[in-house]
Amino acid sequence: MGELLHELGIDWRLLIASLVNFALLFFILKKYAYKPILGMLEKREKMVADSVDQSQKIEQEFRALQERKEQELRGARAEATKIIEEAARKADELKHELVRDAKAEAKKLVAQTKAELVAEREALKASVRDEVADLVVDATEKVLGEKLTAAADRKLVERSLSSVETLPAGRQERV
Amino acid sequence: MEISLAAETVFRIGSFPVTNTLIASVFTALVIGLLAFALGRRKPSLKPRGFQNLMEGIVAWLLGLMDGITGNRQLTKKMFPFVTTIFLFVVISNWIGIFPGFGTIGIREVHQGEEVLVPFFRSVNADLNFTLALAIVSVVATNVLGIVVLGAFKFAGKFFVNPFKNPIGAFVGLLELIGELAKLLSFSFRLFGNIFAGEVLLVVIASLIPYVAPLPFYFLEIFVGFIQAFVFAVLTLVFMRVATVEAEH
Repeated sequence: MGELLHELGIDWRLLIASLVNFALLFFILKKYAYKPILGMLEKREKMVADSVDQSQKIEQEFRALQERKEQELRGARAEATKIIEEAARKADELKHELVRDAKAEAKKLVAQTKAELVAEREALKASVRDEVADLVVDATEKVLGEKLTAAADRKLVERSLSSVETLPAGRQERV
Repeated sequence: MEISLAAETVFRIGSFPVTNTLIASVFTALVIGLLAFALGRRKPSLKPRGFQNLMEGIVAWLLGLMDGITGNRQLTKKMFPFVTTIFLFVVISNWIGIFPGFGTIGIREVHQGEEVLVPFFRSVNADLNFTLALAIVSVVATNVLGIVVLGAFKFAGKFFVNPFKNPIGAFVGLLELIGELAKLLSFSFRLFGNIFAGEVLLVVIASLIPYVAPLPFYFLEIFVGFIQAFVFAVLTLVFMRVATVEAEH
């Protein structure tokens, strides 16, 4: 066995030397190469993941904002339509009311005018009667040539006039 | 033309034999160490450029490769420094071993009445001491990792099973134990055999036709040097993966 190992050139001192050599190399590489590179890779990986997350979040927020904007716009549009409809309805109502009022006013005016006309006619009729009475008195005086007492005279005329007044309505119009 | 299975001793410090492979291995370690220093000297920046970019690319690629075997980023990170160091050391030493001057520049010494050339440099892995050392490191690290991940009791349960309860399991455990020793041999002799054979091949071809003809074999050796390093590292990774998995009963 020892002969074989010697023939293969195996020497425990060299073996240990190479083990030490490798160990040294391992620790140097670990400290100066692997740690910084792995750390940096990890850091960058995390950064990329973070930024992707963030961009996704921002996009989501943006979409939500847009959605809200749209919703608000839709709401405003609906509101505007409602307001316009309301206004039109009110205007219509107002118009109807005005027309109705005007009609009533006109009717009232016509009635009033008619009443006034009737009153005026009554007054006219009375004044004409008075005038006619006086005239009749005067004429009768002249015709008779004899003056009656004023009172008797008046009584006479009035009696005749009231007979006129009791005439049928159709004839009364013509007075 | 002399071909020695063992590495030649260039000089001695006391009784310690400084072989040409030891010189080459120290040289390899220095090259890699200096590269690491060059990398670690500057603080790594978030926006990588040049050298850092290259190194990060390599590391990211290796991480991806290892993830494919371990299937777990946490585990990969535990194994990464070790496996990568093995890979780097083996591949760089193999490639350095192809450099001109390796195996050819040396001093002539008289051994047992014969004059032989003792080269100053020899490819590191053409010496069984180094491949065996790497194999020992790999197997020991694998078992240590297994103990760390599974716990000493569970890990020991892979090898030592009560033969009265489970005779088949006990036998399998015994085989596993022998397997660990076999790993040492397969690791060390595979790498040594490939690289030593490559060295011999280059020497033989160069002695037959010195010009142009060795060129394809140099390409072959570059390829073999990479593949052997890759195989060594990946096997270590696979064994580590297996060591961290609980035994099935």
